[in-house]
Amino acid sequence: MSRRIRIPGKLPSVKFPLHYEGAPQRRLFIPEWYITLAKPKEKMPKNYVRFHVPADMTKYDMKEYLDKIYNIKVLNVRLSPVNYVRYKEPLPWRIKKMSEDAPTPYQWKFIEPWKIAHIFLADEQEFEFPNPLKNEDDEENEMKLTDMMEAQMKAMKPKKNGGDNKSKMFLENSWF
Amino acid sequence: MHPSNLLLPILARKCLRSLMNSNAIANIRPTACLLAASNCSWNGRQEQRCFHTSRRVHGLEEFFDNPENFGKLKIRSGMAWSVDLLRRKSTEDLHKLWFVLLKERNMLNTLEQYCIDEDEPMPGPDRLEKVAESMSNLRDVIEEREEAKNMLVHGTPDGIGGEWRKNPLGATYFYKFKEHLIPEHLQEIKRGDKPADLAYFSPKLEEWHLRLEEKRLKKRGGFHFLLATKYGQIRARNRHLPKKMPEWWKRKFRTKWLYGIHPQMRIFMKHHDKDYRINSRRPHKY
Repeated sequence: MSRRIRIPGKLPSVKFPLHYEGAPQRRLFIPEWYITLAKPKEKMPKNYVRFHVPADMTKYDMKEYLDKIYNIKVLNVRLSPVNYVRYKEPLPWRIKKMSEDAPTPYQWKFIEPWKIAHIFLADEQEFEFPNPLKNEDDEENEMKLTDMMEAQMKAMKPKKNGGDNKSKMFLENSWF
Repeated sequence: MHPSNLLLPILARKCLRSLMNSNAIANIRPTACLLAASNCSWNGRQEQRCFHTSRRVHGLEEFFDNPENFGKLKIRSGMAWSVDLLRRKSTEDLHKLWFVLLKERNMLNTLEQYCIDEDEPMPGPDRLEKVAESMSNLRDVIEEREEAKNMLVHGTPDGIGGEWRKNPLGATYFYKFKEHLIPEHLQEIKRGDKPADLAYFSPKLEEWHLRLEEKRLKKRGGFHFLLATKYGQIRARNRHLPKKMPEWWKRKFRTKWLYGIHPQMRIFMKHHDKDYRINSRRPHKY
């Protein structure tokens, strides 16, 4: 069974068995690829969708993913890798003989990269990124800032009838 | 009616919006509950009542919540799937559940990214953790089942056989079988691995082994002990001999043979053996 292999010092990848002529098609039964739909800041065509995608995915993987799981037909996929940075981490202990260039001991490390997928939808589909933090029904009930301030000031004022039971606060006893 | 529908659990009323999202999938039937609902019962008919069968325009809407949940500051969610609950499901159910969880995770990722871009708090951030936990539990369960099956069939958890072999230096190691395109009996050139009974030795390595054995036996205590026992045996028969071992007798055991294995005495190193100097130490004089 092919699985996504994650080793700390190396890039993650999916390993398949050796391929030979006439072998059955490669299949991933449990894909461990999670993608995010991103909203581009620039104005893009209506056809266009942008995903943030893990680094081991290829164009064909992306197309199959959208086709099989989400049933989205795709015209074109382009991937561009992002954030692949190798850097030297200085260490306080000695490992081996250091070269003359680096007098202090160091270790190579890298930041795990990811890819941006630029996708164009097929069959004249259009997509507009909705706002998941805003509800259209609530717009009518939205109070202006000034109204809210006034309501707060009213609540702060002391009330004339002091002995009114209804105005006092009672803790709800939900046991009874 | 699809036969698998009857076998799968339905949603209780408390089941959440995530199921509404997964309606529009044509290829997968979303019948597994996203979160652990203890009120599920086994009835195929009621299932259709909970779903709405309208198809969506394209599946990109599955990257977002139910539109009713837009704008909410707090979103309640249940527990994650535990390993005990997942073990009761069949592999088909688990496979379907994996994709439901995958879609949910993608949706939460998009929401998170949007909130980061807009610099606003994400509603219901604990959902991500729960989904991730349940996915890892699912994977654990599947791995358990696969390993059990492999142990029964092959005897190893991977399903890959292996055997014990000797490397050229004489040490044994466990060799796992690798994949080859050409089967063994058709291969012309055999590279590397040989079976355990035939250890690969060159003349140099053989010499190395023997020298190592000599060195082991040449350790001070063993060497002198052997000589002392021999001398003791001789002295037991001839009492006139001195107690202390004479040096001329010791020097007798300086052989010219390199690797002659004496039947009584074991291999002794040559007195001045310049070629063989491990750790570059001086040879002892005796």
